[in-house]
Amino acid sequence: MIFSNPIKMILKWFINLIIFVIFFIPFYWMLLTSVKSLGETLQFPPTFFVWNPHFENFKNAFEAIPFLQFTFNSIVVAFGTMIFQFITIVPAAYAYARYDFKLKNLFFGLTLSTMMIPSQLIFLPIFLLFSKWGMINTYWALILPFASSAFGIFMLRQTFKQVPEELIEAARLDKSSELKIIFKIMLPIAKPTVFTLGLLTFIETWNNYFWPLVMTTNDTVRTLPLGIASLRMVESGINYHLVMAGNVILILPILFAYFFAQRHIIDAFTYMGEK
Amino acid sequence: MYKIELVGIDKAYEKDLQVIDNLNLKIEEGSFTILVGPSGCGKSTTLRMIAGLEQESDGEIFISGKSMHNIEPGDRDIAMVFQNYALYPTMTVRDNIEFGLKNNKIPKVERNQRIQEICDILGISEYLARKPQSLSGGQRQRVALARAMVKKPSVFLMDEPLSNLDAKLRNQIRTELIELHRKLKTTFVYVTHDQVEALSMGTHIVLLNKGKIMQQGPPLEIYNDPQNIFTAQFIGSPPMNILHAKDFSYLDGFDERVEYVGFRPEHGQISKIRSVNPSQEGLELAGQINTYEILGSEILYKIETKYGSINLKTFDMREVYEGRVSILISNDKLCYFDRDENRIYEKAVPRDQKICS
Repeated sequence: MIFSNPIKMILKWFINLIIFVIFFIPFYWMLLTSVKSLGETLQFPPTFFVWNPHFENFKNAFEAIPFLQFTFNSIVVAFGTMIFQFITIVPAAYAYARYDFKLKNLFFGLTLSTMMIPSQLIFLPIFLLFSKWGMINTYWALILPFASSAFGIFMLRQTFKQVPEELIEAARLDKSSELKIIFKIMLPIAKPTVFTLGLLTFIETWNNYFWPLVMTTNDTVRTLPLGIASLRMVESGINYHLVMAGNVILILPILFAYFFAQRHIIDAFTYMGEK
Repeated sequence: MYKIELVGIDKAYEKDLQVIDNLNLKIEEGSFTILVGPSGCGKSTTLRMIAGLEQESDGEIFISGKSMHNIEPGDRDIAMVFQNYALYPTMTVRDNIEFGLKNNKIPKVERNQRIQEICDILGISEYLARKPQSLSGGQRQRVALARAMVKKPSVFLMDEPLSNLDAKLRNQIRTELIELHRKLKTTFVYVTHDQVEALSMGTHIVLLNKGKIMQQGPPLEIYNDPQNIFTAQFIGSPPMNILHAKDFSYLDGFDERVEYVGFRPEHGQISKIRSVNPSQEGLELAGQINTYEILGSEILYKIETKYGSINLKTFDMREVYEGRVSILISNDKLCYFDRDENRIYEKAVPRDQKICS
């Protein structure tokens, strides 16, 4: 972009710099702390670079808690949630986008209104319900409450609505069943949106701390964020270096997933502007 | 036997919004039938009801003698070509063409053979591996045609398939469609708002207005023998000139019902001076040339007369007329219409009189 006005250009760089600092510094701080020694983490004034990194922090963090069990639990919960959401969101979004039925707008409004209810408000009744059903300390307690997503239904409905009606008519003339229309025509077109939703769900579930904390009482189905939090109490005092090392391991899959899905995410948001 | 029969078809989207009112239509086997009319006349709706994409409010549709009530579009033995092609964007050209065949459970060997055959006819073999997005408009339309043809349906339905193409390509594909129809000998039902397409392609034209058939018949009959003013003006470019008969001074010998007189632009003879030629009988008008357009093989004049503005077309390229002229329309080229804009046939009007303005 060409800026005729140098002040505008300086302003632009300045704003970019601020945004960079806001987003990058915490990230850098986490990476930095993860290779500091315990002594260095408590040092004042803090150091901004580490000359002799303690990579053994990762090993120590890994060995201090049942890391593999937590990772396995996290994977089960994250992918379980994604699969359930796929099963519930696709038909719901298709129905809201393509069918006319009685009270459709009312139901859609109700669906959307669930987005506005924070989980802190409903965890107690759900906890009571699940404990009655004996589902505390099971994967179900972590997956079922997130088995659908109003946001996902809304996003996918918008994408489905943009598919020209003629495509579906052409498919009907080609003797295509409704399921085939969804899986062979609609979902391939909506692929960027599906990827984005999948990624958002993955990140949300992977990072979720509150819900597993409430729904579990022991380590059997606890997920990584809880495991990493427990690193704090391994020895006397708070082991910031171990916690941060654990966090670095925690975010690796997310970075990887984002890297993998980046193109699709950008597609999903640009598709909405296209005709 | 008629290939398609529409009996007493009504279509209303809402209670007060009647699009089609008691439509009865018979489409002959092997015909190239054109549904033509202005936008909103119900031509597309009619086609979509034949396809089963739209539910008729009342009446019954028969294809090959069988009632199509509650029969899914995919089971009607038809194929449709859409205005915006409606190709599946995520599939390759080949998958697009093959999709319907797979759904109809046609064995692989036959599928390949049919695709090969169709692609040779339409000249799209080299694009088979490409996605529709990378094709031009004309190529996409050919793929859409291939997708329809490969199913070997007994009826082709086409909803303005040429209107997204540029003029040159449109003419080319128009010719190809006529050839295709000759080759396949299948029934084509084709919707357009373009009277040129209707006249040039159709073997049978159905002219619709406001959900009613205004006239139907072969192209020449529709052009030469319009039954009402709507037909006379919709078919033909420029439209037929319509003048108020009551403005003329010679009413005495006229049939009383005659309200309008019309003639085609190419049927007026133009001359410089007022030339009452005793050997020719007809309507003579004096006028002032407003504008003219030279179109190569013909010249279009817009002429102001005291009965209103008229269009005239001459194929005499030796001279361009300007200023005051006289126009003579011979009696047998005049069409008469009554108050309801319906045609009054020649017998109703005394032909032995010289009509002069």
